[in-house]
Amino acid sequence: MSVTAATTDIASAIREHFTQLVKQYGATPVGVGWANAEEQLRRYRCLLGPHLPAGTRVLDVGCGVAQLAAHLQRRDVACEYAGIDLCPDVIAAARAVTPSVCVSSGDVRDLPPTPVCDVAVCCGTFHVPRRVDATSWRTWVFEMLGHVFRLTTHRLAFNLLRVDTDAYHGCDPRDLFEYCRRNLSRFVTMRADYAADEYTIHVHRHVDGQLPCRDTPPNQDPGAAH
Amino acid sequence: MTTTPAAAAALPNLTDRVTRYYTDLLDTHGPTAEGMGYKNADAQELRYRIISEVTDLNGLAVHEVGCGVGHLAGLLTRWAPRARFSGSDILPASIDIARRTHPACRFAVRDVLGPSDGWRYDVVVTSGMLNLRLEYDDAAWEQWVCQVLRNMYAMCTVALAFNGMSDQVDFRDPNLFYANPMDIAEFCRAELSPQVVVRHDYPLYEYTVYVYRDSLV
Repeated sequence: MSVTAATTDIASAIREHFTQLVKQYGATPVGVGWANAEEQLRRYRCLLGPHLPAGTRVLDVGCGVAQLAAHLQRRDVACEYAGIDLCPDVIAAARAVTPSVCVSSGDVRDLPPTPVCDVAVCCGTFHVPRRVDATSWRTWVFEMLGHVFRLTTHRLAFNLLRVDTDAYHGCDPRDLFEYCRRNLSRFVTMRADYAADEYTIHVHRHVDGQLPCRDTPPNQDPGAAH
Repeated sequence: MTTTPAAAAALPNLTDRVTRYYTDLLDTHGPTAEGMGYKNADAQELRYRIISEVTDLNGLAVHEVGCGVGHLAGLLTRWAPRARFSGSDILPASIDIARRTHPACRFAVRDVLGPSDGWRYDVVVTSGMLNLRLEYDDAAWEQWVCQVLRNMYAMCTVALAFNGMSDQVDFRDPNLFYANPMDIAEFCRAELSPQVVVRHDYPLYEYTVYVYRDSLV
C-alpha cells in the first residue's frame, strides 16, 4: 500500500494530538478526546447495535485506551476484542490499565486487506485536528473506510462529526453515506439519534443481520499480522 | 395542524386518482398484499418488519396512515402483541374490510392532509404510501411527501417511521417516486427533529427512515 505524504502527515498529527491528550488526562474518555463517559456509552450503543453474538471478532480501529473492550465486558458479551491505535503512548496507557487487553500500536493500513474481524469499529478515529488540511483529511477518511471494510466479514461501523468544530474536522453525512453505498456496499445505515453534532454509519456486507457464532474463537490479534 | 392548499393544487385530482388505482387493485387481487400494491406477501412483511423496528411497540399506540385492509394489525399481534394499533386510509372499501378483519382495532376513513381534530399517537407509520407518484412531476410530488411527513410527525409523540424507494435501484417504474434517502433524512432533520435514522440495510431497493422526538438511545 502506498502511503502518501499527506496521509503520513495525518498519522503524525493524530499521534501528536492524542499523545498530548493522554499525557494530560490519562486513560479516561477526556484523555482520548471525548467530553464525558455518558456520551461515550451512547456512542458505543449505536456503533455496536443490539445484537452481538458470543464469539464475534471486534476490531477497534483507533482504539485509544481500549474503553470499548471494557464496555463489551460490562455488557457481558463474550466478544473477541482486538484494538489497534497509531499512538504507542496511548497503547501503553491502555496496557497500564488492563494488562491483558489485546491491543497493538500501528497503522491499520499496514494490515493486509483480508478479513481479520467480523465487525470493525472506528469510534472517533476520524476526529482529526483541523491543522490537517480538509482535502487530505477527506481523502484519508475514504481510503481508511475502504481498507477497514476489507478487514471485515460482516460490518464496519464508524462515527463522525457533522460539521467542523474548533478542534476537529467534520463531514456532511450525505457525502459519507453516498460514498459508502456507491463504493463499499449498498447496505448502509445512518444513525443521528444519539448526539446533536455527530452521526454513526454502519456498512453491512450482508443483509441477514446475523453475525456468526463461533465455538472456537480463532486467533485474531491484528498485532500478529505486522 | 397545517393543511396544504399549495401541495394539493399542484397535484390535481390526487385523491380520485389514488382511490381509483387502489380500488382496481383491490378488485383484482382481493384483500391480499398484492391488492395493497405490494409485489407479494414476503415483500410486504419485510417492509413492515423494518418499520416496526422503530422501537419496542408493546404498550404504545401505533397508527398507520394508508393502512389498507389492516395487514399490519395482524403482523403486530405476532411482533408486538401489546401494541394498540389503529389505522386510517382514504379508501372506504379497504377500511370496511379492516374493521371486519380486526374488530379490536380502530380504523377511520381519513386523508392525512385533511383536518386532523388533534389526532395523537405514540408512533405513526406508513409503508409504500409515498411511492405512487403516478404521472405527477417529481418536484410537486416531493412537496406532497414533505407535507405528509410534517402532518404525520405532528400526530406522533414518540416516533415516526416511513419507507420510500431508493434512487439506488436496478429498475425504475415511471409511476414511482425515487429519492436519495439522505435528502429525505435531511428534510426530516431540518423540519421535524434531528433524531433521525436511515436504514438502507435490507434486501429491497428502498429505505426506511425513523424520526424520534427524543433520543431513545
